[in-house]
This record gives sequence, C-alpha cells and structure tokens, in this order.
Amino acid sequence: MGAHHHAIPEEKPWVMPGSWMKTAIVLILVGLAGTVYGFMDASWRGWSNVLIAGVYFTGVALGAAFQFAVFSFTNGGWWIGVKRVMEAFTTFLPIPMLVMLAIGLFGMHELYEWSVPEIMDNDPLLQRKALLLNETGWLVRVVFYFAVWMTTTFLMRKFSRAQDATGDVKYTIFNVRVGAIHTVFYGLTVTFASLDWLSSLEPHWFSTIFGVYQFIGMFVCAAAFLVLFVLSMQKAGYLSWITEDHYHDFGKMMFAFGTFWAYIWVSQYILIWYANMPEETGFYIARQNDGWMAIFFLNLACNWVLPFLILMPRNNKRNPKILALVAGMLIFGHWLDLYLQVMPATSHFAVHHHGATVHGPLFGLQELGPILLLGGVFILVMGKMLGAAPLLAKKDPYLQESLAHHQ
Amino acid sequence: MSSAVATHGHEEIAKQTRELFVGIFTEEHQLMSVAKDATDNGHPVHDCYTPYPVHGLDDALGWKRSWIPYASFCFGLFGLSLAVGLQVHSQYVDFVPFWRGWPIIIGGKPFLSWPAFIPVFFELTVLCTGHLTVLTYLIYRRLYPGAKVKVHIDGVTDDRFAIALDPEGEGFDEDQARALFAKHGCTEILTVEGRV
Repeated sequence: MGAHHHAIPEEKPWVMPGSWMKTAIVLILVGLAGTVYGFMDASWRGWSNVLIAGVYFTGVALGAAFQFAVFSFTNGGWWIGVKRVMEAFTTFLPIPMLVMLAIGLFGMHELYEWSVPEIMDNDPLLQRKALLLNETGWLVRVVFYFAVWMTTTFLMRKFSRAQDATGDVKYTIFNVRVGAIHTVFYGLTVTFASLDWLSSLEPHWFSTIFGVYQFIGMFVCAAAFLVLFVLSMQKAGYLSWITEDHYHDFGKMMFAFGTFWAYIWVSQYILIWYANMPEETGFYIARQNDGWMAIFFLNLACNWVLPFLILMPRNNKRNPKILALVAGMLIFGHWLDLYLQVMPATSHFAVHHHGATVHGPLFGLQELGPILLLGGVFILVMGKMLGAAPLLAKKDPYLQESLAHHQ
Repeated sequence: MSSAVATHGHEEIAKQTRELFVGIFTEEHQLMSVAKDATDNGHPVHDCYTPYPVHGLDDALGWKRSWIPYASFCFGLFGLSLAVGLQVHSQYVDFVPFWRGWPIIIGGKPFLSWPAFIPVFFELTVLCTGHLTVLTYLIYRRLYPGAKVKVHIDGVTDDRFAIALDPEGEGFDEDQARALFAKHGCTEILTVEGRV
C-alpha cells in the first residue's frame, strides 16, 4: 500500500512485565534443580541435556539473526514493526557461547567418542577424520563461529539503531550489505557448527543435508519464539501497531518454513532409506528401535503434520490463540527434534564406554533442567534487552509500509 | 484488483451492455479512499480497475472472500488421490483382469514401499493444485483466450486507477457521484460501454 497518512503510533517505554519475571524465576529454579539432579544422576546425561539446550538457544538467536538479515537484504517492509524484537533475540548469543565452551572444556569426553584417545587409537576410520574431529579444533571453531555471528549481528543492530537518530537511508543500505554478508558466512558456519556439535556425536555416520536441516529447525523455532514474545508483549500493552495482518505473516512463516523443515527431513530420510547402506542407516535404526519409534513420529507430528493442518485455513493464521498454540507446538517440537538427535547417540556411547545401563528414551527432571534454565535466562535477558532501543524504529524508511501492511 | 478485461465481484454475469460511470485517479490511495467512501455511502460500485493488485481493495469494497481457496484444497486432495492410485495400482494391482498394474521389485524392497512414493505424492498434489486453480480462476473470470473484452478503459493497465459505478444500479445519483469523485481527487470522468 502507498505510504500515506499513517500516524506514527505512540510508544510506551519498555518495562519488563511482572509475569515475565515470575515465569523466568520459576523456570530458572526448576531448571537449576533439574540440571544439578541430571549431573548427580549421570554426568553423560547432564552434559547431553546441556548440549541440547546450548544448541537450541544458539538456534533461537541465529534464526532471528537470519530473519533479520534476509528481510533486510530483500528490502522487506512488513517486519519493521517487530524488528526490535528480532534484534533483542540476537543479543542472546554470548550465553549459548559460554554453554558450548563449557561443553568443550569439561564435558566433551562424556559426549563425543572421537575425543577419547583409546577409541581414536583403535579406529582407523576416525583417524582419517582427525583433522576435523579433535578437541582443540572443536573449541577454536566454537570461538570462531560465535565471533562471526556476534560481529555481524552487532553491526546489524548498530546500523538499525543509528537510524533512529538521523533517519538516514544509508543505514538501511548498510544493513542490506551486512545482511548479505551475514547470510553467506552463516550458511558456512551453521553447516560446520552442526557437524561439530551434533553430527559428530555419531562420527561414522554422515549426511550432506545435515547443515540445512539444522538451519531450518533454527529458523522455525525462532519464528515461533517471535510469535509468543510479540503476543505476550501485546498483552502487556506494547507493540500496538502489530495487527491481524502481521499475525497472518507470522502464520505464513511458521506454515511455510515448517513445511520446508519437513521437506528437508524427508530429503534426508528417503535417500538413506532408499539406498539402504549400513553406514548410513545406523542413524535411523538407532531412532526407530528400543522405544524411540513413538518419539520419531511425535517429532514429525509436532513439527509439521499438526502445524501444517492447523495453519492451512486463512482465519487460523490471523487468530492469536491458534498462532500461540502452534508456536508452542513448534517450540516443543524443536526441542524434541534435538533430543531425538542427541540422546540416542550419547546414551549409546554411555552404555558402551561409561558402563551406563540405558535402554530406550529417558525423560525426567534431568531432561527439563538445562533447557528450562536457559529458557528462564532467555526471558530475563529479553526483558532487559528489549529496553536497549525504542520498540518502534520510528525513522526506518519502510516503517510506513509496515504500519499500512495489509493482506 | 483486476485487469481491464476482468469483472470482479459480480455474481450475475448477464450478456448485456450498459454505460458505466467511470472515475479516473492517478494514485492508489485515492482509489482506496473513493472505493471505501462509495461503498459506505451506498453508491452502486460495478468494479475497480488497477494496473496491479491493490491490497485491501476487496475489503474497501466490502467483497466476500473468494471460494477459490476451497477449490484449491479439493484439487490438492484430488492430486494426492491420483498419486496414491497411480502408484498403488501400478505396483500392486495384478489381479484385476484387463486392468493390471506391473509390480516390479526395485532395490530389493517390497511392492508397496510407500516411502518411495512420497516424492510423487508431493509432486502430483502440487501440480494439480497449481494448474487447476489457475484454470478455474481463468474460466470463472472469463479470461481465457478469445473471451470478449468486457470493459475497456485507457491506461488502467499502465498508470491509472479507475472505479466504475453502475448507473442502472440502486442508489445511483450522477451529481452525488461526481461530487464523490471530485472529493477524492478524480482527474477525469468517463462513460464507458461495459459488457456486464
């Protein structure tokens, strides 16, 4: 629609709602208890759940950073009203970095078989991969990935906020460039990071689409978080400029990219199923037997089948209650997806090398610990970081387009 | 909303011509406001003509949602059924005389290895939905090759926006219509012969 006579809405200065604080405290307390209990129970189990939580929240921040980058360099207009929420998400990166560094320094031997010298010495196949699979390299790469992501997201936030003062269109153009550069680096780093952190849990197995699969999981999860945060902020009286038409776009984002997730899921599964080669099928055999089958299908249901069917009608995409329901489903679904990738591998490793006796999926307070702990910290950090800049980018040249957005 | 040869929003398409009372505007937002004003104040709007799709114009005119998405859903189900039928028949049905499939063992897998069918499920669903939806739209709106031009207004496929009122419609008043057009910055008023 044309850029005409849309008054700039009044904006309430951000103060974290009391309900966020309460939720965060409950999550952190339960999370701490669960994490401590998990480590007391079995340290491999504690570290597995820390890994899931670390990768999960890296993904929330990175998914938002990717959305910010893509909407910037494609000259998107509708998203300007929620731009500051995405910016706040990207500020979370240092915390998952600490989690990943802790895993690299203290927990690696509980998770990655290639980090145990006796196993490496007796496995010629792993020795051929030692260039990539070694502890120093893993740690250096963690620092490198986060350094890249934190630099580009810092620049994107900086240019976005600098525009608030002057309204100079050059900042929009800067972000087109930084967004494009971020996307190129992100494509490479997210692939290598997912190989390092997840795929190398089963170092004999390989899948060339693995990086794309992680990337799209992050994207959908970040979109779902965005929906929940925006709805919660609106309930507290903020973001009054976000309308049903913006909800419609959130709905389309979850619908379309949830379906893309399923497309990548099938692309990985079907080639391995079809070729039926033992060095590839091991990944799925471990996830379809010993009681994992139900979770294997629940993963598909939560991440694609249900969201796809629920979000198909137009009115459901415009209904905040239904959007929140689907977002919750996807938030749980992405955790389940990571759980299904990590736990069968690490429990198998624990049984064979740490003398654990596990058969099938485990679920208890130990699993809830780290993910809820980081979730609580995430809410607290967002409560703080949403106040770092005005919630409405008043001088963004695309602001009028966002305010007048209509489906 | 539509190109110069389309007539949206009219449920009855009778084969007759009539003079339409047309106001020409140069800006999208002028058309939006005149369309809303005309609808709210009971002027008989025949249709609007714009060079590109204008978001929100259907709301401004008070039109109902199109039924075409529901047709698309049905076409999707049809495509999926076609894919299921095609593959299950050709890989399994060898017991119906004169209508046999040709089951073949591929890669040592059983005949009904449905995961292998997924790409075809997907493709035929998308193919049928896409093509049949476009065809339905073109036929329903009479936009197929050789269809007669219904309304011709110069410039509405280029840089002008037009709203057409139906002078024989209920509530039409030429003076009020002129005042309405003028209020929203109309640059030209025409009477155009339309096949309505």
